[in-house]
Amino acid sequence: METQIICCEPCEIPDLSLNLHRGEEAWVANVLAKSSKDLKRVVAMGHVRVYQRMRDKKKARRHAPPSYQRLKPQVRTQTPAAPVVPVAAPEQVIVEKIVERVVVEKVIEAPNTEALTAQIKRDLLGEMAGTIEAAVAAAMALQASQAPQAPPALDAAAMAAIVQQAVAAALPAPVGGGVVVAPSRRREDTEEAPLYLPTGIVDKNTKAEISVQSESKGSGELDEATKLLREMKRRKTQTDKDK
Amino acid sequence: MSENETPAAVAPVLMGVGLDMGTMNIVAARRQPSGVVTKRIRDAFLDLPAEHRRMLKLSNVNYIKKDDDIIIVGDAAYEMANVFGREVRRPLAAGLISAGEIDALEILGVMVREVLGDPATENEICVFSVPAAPVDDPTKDVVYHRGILERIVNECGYKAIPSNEALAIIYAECGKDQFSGIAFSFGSGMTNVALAIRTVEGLSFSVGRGGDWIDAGAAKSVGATQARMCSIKEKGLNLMKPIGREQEALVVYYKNLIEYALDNVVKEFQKISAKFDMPFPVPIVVSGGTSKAEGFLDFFKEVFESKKRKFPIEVSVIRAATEPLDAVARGLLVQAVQEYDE
Repeated sequence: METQIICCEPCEIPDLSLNLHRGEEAWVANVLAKSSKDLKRVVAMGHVRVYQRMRDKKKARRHAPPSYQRLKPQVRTQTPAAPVVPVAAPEQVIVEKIVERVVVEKVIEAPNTEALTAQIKRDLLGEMAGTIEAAVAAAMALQASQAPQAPPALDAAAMAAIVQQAVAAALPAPVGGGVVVAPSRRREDTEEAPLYLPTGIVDKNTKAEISVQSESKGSGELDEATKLLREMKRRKTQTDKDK
Repeated sequence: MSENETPAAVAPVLMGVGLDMGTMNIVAARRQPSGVVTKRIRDAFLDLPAEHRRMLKLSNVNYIKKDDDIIIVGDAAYEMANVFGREVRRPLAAGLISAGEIDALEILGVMVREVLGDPATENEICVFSVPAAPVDDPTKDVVYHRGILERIVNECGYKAIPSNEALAIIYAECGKDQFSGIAFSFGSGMTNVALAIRTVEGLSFSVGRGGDWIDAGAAKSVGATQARMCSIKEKGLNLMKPIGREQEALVVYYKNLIEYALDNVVKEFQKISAKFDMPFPVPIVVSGGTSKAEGFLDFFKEVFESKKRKFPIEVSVIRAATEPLDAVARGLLVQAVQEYDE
């Protein structure tokens, strides 16, 4: 038994690392779902529906498409909804479609795709290679049983290139040193980056004839704000001391 | 040195400066015995050959002499650009230091120096504004922008302290609300948003759309120039009663900008709602040059009403900043003054 989360309104469930669009579904372990505060919140807001049921791993469930949907990467739009391998198609086409399907399942539909790092990508590539090899072998065996000629041997280098291409097309462009990070982490990462700042920007010898617009207004509101802020700080310090 | 230590016979030196570094204006706010004095310069420049210097001296135009060129700065840059049929240059683009403007840093340095004036004492505190990282354009480098401004202010003899632009509006306008509220700073380069409860920042972000985006979009849709749309806006546009297709086009883009900012508040708030407590309804304060259009507040309220159902924060009131062009500088000044209370 797992928990199926079906999205009714676009929402984010941070403690499950999920970012769902309307019509999308996600599966999580029951224990995780029960302990998720963010999930409870979005359920209460009516943004998702939650069911506890057995997951049918063979059948990819598709829910009613949302009325508006973000443009999907090309690789996804080309992918058939059901994993049907066209028997009569040439061998190269079969491999590409299988690769696309696996990439879509493993990468695009994986939770928190944006947070995939280069390392995870590499791991995924390894994992996908096995899945693809098995799927291609099965497809070719099927093709061979319907057409008498022997299936051509798989070219490992060609397959790797197809996988790389499909993953690159499916993932967002890397930021900085090739690492794709979640938007919330981007700022921190940039702040750690080394920074070159020129010196001597303000040249005191630069001749300038500038008269700036000047305006004077009562400082009542500013004084009041300063006073209120001072009082607030004093109260806070007092409360901290009392504790 | 604190103001208490100043001899009674001498006029008290009121320490601390707030500096708002905007795409359109650079504004400095400082306390004087007579009140709060704000100094402003339009953040634009235009380079001309040196032979125009005599003419400029006669016309009393602000300029900087650089190598063999004369660089006109401020409002005059716009006027001269029209005279000479040139495009004005801007040190900041879309809220951040313009990487494409080679002379930008030096010009910016001079403009900041002139607006700030000399520090009252060595290393007088100057709190300057920095936009939040844009949520819709992660390639924009706020870190470099902040670093450069910090260096410029330091080189002017001040101790520079960066502070969030929209948060400054809460300091200036929400004292009676216990410094709690949601501030929208509708600038020309970008729109900054901050949410704070009792001065504690819960949320701050920016979107790369502002007044310039409105001009560009409206211009494209009616086949006019961006400068023309800007001029229509500045001549007086009533958002509640647009006249003609150009004004109607502007209104469409104003509406879209407000919707976009509100939608992003909803989206960004969802990320922090579990960790951030909202103990009471808070006011929304709208500010910035783009919010100066006639009827902006009513228009904002109207758009907000259509989004209210999905807005996750309870709002007590929606109001405009008392001084939309100075609110950020004043809020920064409040923070600078506090530094001397420590």
